[in-house]
Amino acid sequence: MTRYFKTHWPGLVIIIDQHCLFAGESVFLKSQSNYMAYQANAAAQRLRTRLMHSAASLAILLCAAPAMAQSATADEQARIEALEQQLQQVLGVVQSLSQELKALKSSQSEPGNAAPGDAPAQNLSADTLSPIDLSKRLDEVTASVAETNARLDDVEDIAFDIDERVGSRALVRAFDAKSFDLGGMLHTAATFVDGQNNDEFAVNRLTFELFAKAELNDKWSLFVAQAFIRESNINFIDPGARLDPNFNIGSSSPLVIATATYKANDKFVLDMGRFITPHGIVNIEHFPAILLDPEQPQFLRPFGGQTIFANFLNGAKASGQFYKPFGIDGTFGYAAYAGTFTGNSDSVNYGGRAFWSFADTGITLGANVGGGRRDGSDSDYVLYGADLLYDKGMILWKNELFVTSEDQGGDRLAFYSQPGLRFGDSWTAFYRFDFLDDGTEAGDRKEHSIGFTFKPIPQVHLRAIARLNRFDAGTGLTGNDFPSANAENYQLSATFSF
Amino acid sequence: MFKTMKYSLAAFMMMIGPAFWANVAQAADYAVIIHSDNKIDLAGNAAREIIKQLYLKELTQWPNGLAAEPFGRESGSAVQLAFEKQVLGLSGSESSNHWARMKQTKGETPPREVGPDRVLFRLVGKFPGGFAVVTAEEMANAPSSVMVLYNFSD
Repeated sequence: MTRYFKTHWPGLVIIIDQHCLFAGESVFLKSQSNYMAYQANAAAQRLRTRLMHSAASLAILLCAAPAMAQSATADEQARIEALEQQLQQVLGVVQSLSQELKALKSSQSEPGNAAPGDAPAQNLSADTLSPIDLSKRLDEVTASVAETNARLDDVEDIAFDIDERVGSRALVRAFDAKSFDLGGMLHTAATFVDGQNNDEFAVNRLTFELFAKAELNDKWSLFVAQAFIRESNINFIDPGARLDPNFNIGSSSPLVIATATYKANDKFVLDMGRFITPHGIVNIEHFPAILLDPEQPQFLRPFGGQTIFANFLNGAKASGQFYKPFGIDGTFGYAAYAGTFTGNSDSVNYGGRAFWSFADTGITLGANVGGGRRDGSDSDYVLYGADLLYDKGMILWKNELFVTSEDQGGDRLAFYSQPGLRFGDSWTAFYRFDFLDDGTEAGDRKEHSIGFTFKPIPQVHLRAIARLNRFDAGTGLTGNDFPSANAENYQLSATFSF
Repeated sequence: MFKTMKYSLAAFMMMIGPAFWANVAQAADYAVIIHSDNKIDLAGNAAREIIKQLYLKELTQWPNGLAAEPFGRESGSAVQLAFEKQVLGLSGSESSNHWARMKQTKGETPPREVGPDRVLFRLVGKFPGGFAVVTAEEMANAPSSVMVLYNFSD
């Protein structure tokens, strides 16, 4: 009889043949007849059973030991295999890093790959770099980084500045111009006038003017000044225009300047269109933002008139400057024009001005000549004039004189002298004596102006001015005598420009 | 007696020497730089005069015909104030009056203000007629594309 016993170890089976019995197992002996034999057999059986038990135990041990040994070896083998896999991965990473390092070294060693300021290529090899070389190299890299950072800061400053100016706003661009500049000014004045028969007060000037310049290329450009004026000049309504002051309100929107300019060089510039007649000093400067006294001298009144010469003309003007001509220390300039006056557009006015600036002395001397036809009459005139400017340091002194020879009526004479004294960057005090003989029998007119101006910032010009007008006695067209008279006016004005 | 005088003179020279050299060093506090290709033969007062005319845009071309491209520094900065005072000969009010007149009669504007010296060097090096003012310290880092036309001190 053979029996099979399974053990707790997988795969291990104990096999017991017919002669083996387990302890405790019942053994029933069918033969009862020979008790002794039975006893002897029983003893032999017990011995055999013990032997079998021992053999079985030994077999069990012998059988179980390899199985136990086999299980422990498999576990360690798995761990070893895992470690081997990890080792293979690490070796792969090391090999990859090694290859990358070699590639970097070879690329830095190639000529032309070095950054500006880098050390020679042969010094970059890690194999040949000494600690001193590395330190030097590190210093160079640090310096290069610092330089780059400084440049980046500069660029960022500029970018921030532009961003602050522009932000998310839309930019104005000219349709077709190299550059486009836009500016303007706002001028206002309040005047109290005290005449012999009357006194009046008015906020009598409000002018807004826009300037625009477009450069088409290096030679051609356009310049436009468009004014929007609401003003009321002091108007004496008595026959002799001296006793009864008033304000005549008027509005207009004149195109003050509109020129297309061709600039060959500094010596020849051609303006075509509507331009300021290039005579004297104040008429050329013209704009209230520049002037100490925004009320121009009498010979330039009324605005856009032709009392001595036309303030503006439509036509062409050539001008230029010669720096140190013939080696003489100074600047020579000229302007010559021909054009029509809007109030007398069927007749051509002509003229010109030449000036000499005496190097760095601040002195400019000008000579003027012109001619044309008077507005509303068939009377021709010829004009001569001179101007003298001293502008240096504290002193700003303007002087102009003009005389005309008229075909009809009396010849005309006008002059003024306006010394000014600057106090620091903001304050200027001035006085002006202004004389006008307009060629009529109404009498000469003299004006004394005294005032001071204050510029809190360059774009703002504030003024307080007192004027004293003296009217000489004269006769009118009707033969009535005009008595001499005085009038004063006091004015506060402000000009804002951008 | 002669020996005493000699020693006295030597001592005097030693005393004034540092002051003399200090003045010489200060004589180049600022420099007007131009493009290195602008081969213009001007020096001293003549250089100062032409710089003034070009910066104020009274003239727009160098005597050799190059179109002038002036650059300014930040208004109110020490270098710009020194330039206006020593080269242009203008006070703040004179300068502002000048540009107000130029704006309203010719549509001209003041030269572009440039702050960083590195940017300034780039700009002057870009335009053959370019010029600007820099400090002596800034000039030490100038590239080869610019050169000094005129030195002055405040």
